[in-house]
Amino acid sequence: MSDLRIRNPNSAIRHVLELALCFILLACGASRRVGGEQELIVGARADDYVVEPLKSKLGMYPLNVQICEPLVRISADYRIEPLLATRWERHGDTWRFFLRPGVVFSTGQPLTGEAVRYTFSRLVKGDRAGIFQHVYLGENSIRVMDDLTVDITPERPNQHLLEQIGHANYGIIAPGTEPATEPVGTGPFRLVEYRRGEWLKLERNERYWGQHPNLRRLTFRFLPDDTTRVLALQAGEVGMILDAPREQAATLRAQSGLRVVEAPVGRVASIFLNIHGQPPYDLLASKDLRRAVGLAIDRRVLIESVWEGNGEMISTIGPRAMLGEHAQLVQGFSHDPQQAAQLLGQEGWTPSADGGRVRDGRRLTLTVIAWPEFDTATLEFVQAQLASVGIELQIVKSPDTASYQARIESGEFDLDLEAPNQNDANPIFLPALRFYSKSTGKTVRFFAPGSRFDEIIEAGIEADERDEVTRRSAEAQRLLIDEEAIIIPLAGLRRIYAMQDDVRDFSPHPSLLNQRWDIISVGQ
Amino acid sequence: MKQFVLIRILSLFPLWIGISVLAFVLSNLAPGDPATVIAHRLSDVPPSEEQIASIRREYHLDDPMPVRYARWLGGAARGDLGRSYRTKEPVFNELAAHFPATLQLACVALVIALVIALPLGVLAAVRRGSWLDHGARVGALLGASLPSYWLGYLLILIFALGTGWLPVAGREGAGAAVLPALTLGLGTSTTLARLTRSSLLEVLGEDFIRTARAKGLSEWAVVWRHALRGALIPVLTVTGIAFGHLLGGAVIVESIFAWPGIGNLLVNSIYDRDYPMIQGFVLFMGTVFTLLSLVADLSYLWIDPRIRLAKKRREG
Repeated sequence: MSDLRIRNPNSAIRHVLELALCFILLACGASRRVGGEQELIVGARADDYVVEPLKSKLGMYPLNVQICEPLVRISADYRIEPLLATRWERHGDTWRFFLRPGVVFSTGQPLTGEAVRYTFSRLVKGDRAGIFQHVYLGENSIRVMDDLTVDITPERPNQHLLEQIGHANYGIIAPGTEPATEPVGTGPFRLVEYRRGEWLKLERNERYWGQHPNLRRLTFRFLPDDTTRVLALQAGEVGMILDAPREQAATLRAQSGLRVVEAPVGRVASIFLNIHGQPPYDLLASKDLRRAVGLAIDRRVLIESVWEGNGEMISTIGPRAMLGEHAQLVQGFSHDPQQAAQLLGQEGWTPSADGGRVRDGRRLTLTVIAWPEFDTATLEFVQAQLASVGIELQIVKSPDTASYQARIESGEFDLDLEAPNQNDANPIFLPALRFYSKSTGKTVRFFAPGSRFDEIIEAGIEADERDEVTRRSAEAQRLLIDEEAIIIPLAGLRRIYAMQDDVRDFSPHPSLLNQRWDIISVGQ
Repeated sequence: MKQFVLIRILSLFPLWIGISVLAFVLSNLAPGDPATVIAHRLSDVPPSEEQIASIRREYHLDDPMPVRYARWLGGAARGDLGRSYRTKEPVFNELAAHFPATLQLACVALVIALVIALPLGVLAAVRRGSWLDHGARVGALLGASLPSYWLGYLLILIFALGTGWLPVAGREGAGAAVLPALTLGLGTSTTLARLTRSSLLEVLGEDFIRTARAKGLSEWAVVWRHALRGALIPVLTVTGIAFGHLLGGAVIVESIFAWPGIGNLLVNSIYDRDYPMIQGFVLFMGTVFTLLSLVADLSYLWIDPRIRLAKKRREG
């Protein structure tokens, strides 16, 4: 058998090579290079747009591509700026908005008060997730006074309406249109093509009322895999990527032809402590134990070593800009393992032979859950830090958001690592949403501190002056962090963008939802 | 023959029922509540109990599991797999919209697998014990051991970043399918190459090959005209089954290459706890796979007359 030979084996090999070459040649020219002036392809994460009629916010949420514009805009320091409304007044419980004259939708239809009424009515009809639970708008809240004047009267007094409706969810759409099929707005871009899970192609809106964008075409390609997104940028297939993986930022920075840009802090990674848990998740009812947890974690090492410098020391639960000068009211946690150990000793937790602690035969063991975006290294770092003072930490890593939600709603956790976004300009929003006992969120019951906190929040909700609201928010955070240790801010997180060198004038906003694409230009 | 085919087709029904039970039970037992996921997707504000309860009612998620299963199975029997929680579109339409991309990928992958496997298997067999044979075996082992995500990134590094010949991801352009198909096809090619080699070696040892040689036929004619025909019978059967694997096994590859097929659809549906989509996918793929196996079995009968004759003899 071994003497068998094909008469011309080399030709068979050649056939194989020829076929392989055919495949490769077929593919030549398929790679799309970006760099053509005024055109940008952005690699985005997974496509999470809802495409159900009435509920769809295609092009607005969770990725706002500036097809539609809200009445006001939220600046990078979370201030309110005029957009489709040039000015506004408040008369009692009613807000009056004066629309910008001469604005037309991308279809040529003029912007009038009717468009505002149509937009908000549609949102109220389609609302099931309760975005209006904090805005208090109803079907009859909008009155069109004339073509360019609209009155908005929330169903209950709402001093924060202005700060809330700058959110991309409130982008104004043309009357009679449905964003699920085609979002029509007044923004600097108009939709050309949306292919679910693949891309969203935009073109400059030539009818735009403001300064026209430099980009003639802007495409968002959905590349959910982090590594693929980075590779697509390195290959020049996209000009920019959103949410560049933290662990690859240094590599991207070092690569010639690429640039990494970090946004100002728009969210804070924080540990929420379950103070109302049922056994065996009841240990953190003790304030001293909670404080010990906070003192045991060296946040600087976390930022520098684990996150490779991609973070910022912060004491508050939201961007510092939200609190202005009142941010200094909140001290935050220092790293003091000795004091942590002392607190544990005072609480009766005595060291055991294996480095842990016990009290009345019960071992000091806590369970941590986390948003799926947090890697194992982060959780293991927290675990090691707590172990250094004798607290054993069990890590429950959720593979996806649904299983995380199931776990947190079951109450089966002691610590919960999250990084909530600040997407609107309401300073009291985050503390009220997550800790106010009357908030409708399902997880408030694990974290609500009680009546004194509620009073501060209510005073903040009812305050007219922004300075008073920020002061109340700072007071609320001081109670949560410094007094009660119900939340431990770990670090401010900066969203990371990576792009080709020829992408210019990109100014990152702390919140991706408020990111402006119209100011970007491409070219040397 | 007809009776055999009929029995094989009828035997598929209990199998499909079993698949449907598994699909339904497994997707419903996964931790996570679809109503909560739907509510969260609509806004960045955590939903209230009432809002989630309202979604649960709308999607009949409060009904007992057997009731929901019976309702779903009844619909499936009529060709209605329900509507996606995520898009509200009929599940069948969603599958039909995404299936062509996966089919394209699987077809190209199969072509790649066969183009690599057949010559390699034949060469390894005819040059048994040579460096080519050993090399093919090592290659097969490597191909079978490499995780598809690792291979995928490696191919991207070489052919997209290194040479710029092929796109990194997506389905645009003529060459877009090459890298994902290569990633998918290489694993299959190793299985087929090993099978081709062993099958050919077996045939080459048979009497009719010795007769062919004795008649003075060239080795080329002996191998390619006589031996390979017989050796390919098991390869063809396995190819049919491998094609089913390629269709259903593209999940990771589609995720890496952002390929808009049903694998990607499944991943998103799992994240969203979109029960109708997950169940529809499993039932659909189960059906495709069982039908491909049936076709492979029948083709075996058709290709190899000895099996038909043996069967006739038994029946006679």
